[in-house]
Amino acid sequence: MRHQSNTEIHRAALRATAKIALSLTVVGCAAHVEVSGASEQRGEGGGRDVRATSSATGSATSSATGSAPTESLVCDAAAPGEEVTADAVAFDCCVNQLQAEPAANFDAPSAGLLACCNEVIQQIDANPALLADITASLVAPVWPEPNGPSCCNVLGNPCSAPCGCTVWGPPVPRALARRLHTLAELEAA
Amino acid sequence: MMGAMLDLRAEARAARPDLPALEHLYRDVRETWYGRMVNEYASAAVFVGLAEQLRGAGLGEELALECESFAEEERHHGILCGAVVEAAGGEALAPQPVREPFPYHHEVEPLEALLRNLISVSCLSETAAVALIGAERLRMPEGSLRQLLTRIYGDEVGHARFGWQLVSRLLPTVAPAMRERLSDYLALAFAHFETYELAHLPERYTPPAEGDALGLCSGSVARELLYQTVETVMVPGLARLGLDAERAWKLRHQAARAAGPIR
Repeated sequence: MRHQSNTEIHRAALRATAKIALSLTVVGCAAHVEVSGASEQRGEGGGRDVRATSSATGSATSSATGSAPTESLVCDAAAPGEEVTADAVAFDCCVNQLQAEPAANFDAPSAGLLACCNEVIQQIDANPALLADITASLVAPVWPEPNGPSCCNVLGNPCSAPCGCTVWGPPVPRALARRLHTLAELEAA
Repeated sequence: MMGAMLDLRAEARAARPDLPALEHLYRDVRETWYGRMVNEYASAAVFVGLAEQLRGAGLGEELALECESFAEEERHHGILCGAVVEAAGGEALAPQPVREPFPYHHEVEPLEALLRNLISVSCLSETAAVALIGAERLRMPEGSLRQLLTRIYGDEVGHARFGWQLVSRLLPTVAPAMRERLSDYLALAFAHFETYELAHLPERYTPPAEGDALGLCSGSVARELLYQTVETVMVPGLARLGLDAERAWKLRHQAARAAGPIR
């Protein structure tokens, strides 16, 4: 089994997944594990590797409210769950903010600290060269050694640099702050 | 000063699997399974929210109770993932994760709000989880870690199937205008789903081949499977139910831009 290629493994995994979505006539059957079924799957799929490119911008500001912030920097940082775009000003502001935060504040993070952590981690994810501009321990992976202030730890499950695939549990569905645009409107825009 | 903590150590230690003696990979194992522990445990709140929506939509107590059992399963998965952390020399202890509030979509009627979330949770996220965990399970040799993964996989199949079946039952009963609005929402849901998944599948993480035995997966390979799942399972599956899924997938980035920030 371990000598199967990625293509073979993906085919088998997709067959099992397709059974759930495309074989809805078996209503009410209990959950069970079945990975070797014979149902046909559709084509191979794209297998592209494309990052989401939404330009939605975050609005959370960083103004530490935890214990004894050393400065009251205000950064235009995206709160967790919001999308981050390349923004050198926000990155630099947040790095300064985070490096000035007392370590204790990472144990009870303010909204501003969370937003700055999210901003820094996501910008680094998009551009790893930014790592050179910060104190490495600030973005130590989700299991920092030794335990110290780390944005990865603060965010709970960011999986930024070397951390492996961790995306299983469903995220909170998307809320709407504005009216919903129709597909026709999106095409026309 | 310590904030609220998620402390699963006692239960996780009691469930520790035997890991292959690949100590040079144990740091990666701790990182990966620690993230899973937090992610799985925190996702229970999503099913609690869905259960409340099911009650609000008047769909019966039985379905709501089933959804609440999924929440319990997600918490148990958190413990199982923590058990792997403990087996690799770590501690199943983490800051309580911070998540957005569950959206009840009060701007639309309860049934439409429920369908938005069912599609997002079961037809997108949990369906992707089935594919990703399924592939990881196929790569893993027999042993106690594979048994643990199989338990999680079986539950995730149930979570995905629940949504697909309920959506397939409800969609034919709704007005065409609601189906159109759900297709509009689907574009945004796809964008949200893609952003979240990619953020948790780091492209540059590639463990050595023996990492398969420990549940370490390549981010780039997982991303490839993710897109295959969208294009060969989710889009055709939702299209069969009457949603304009292919168009919604193509327009996802425009939908995210138009929607703006979450709050």
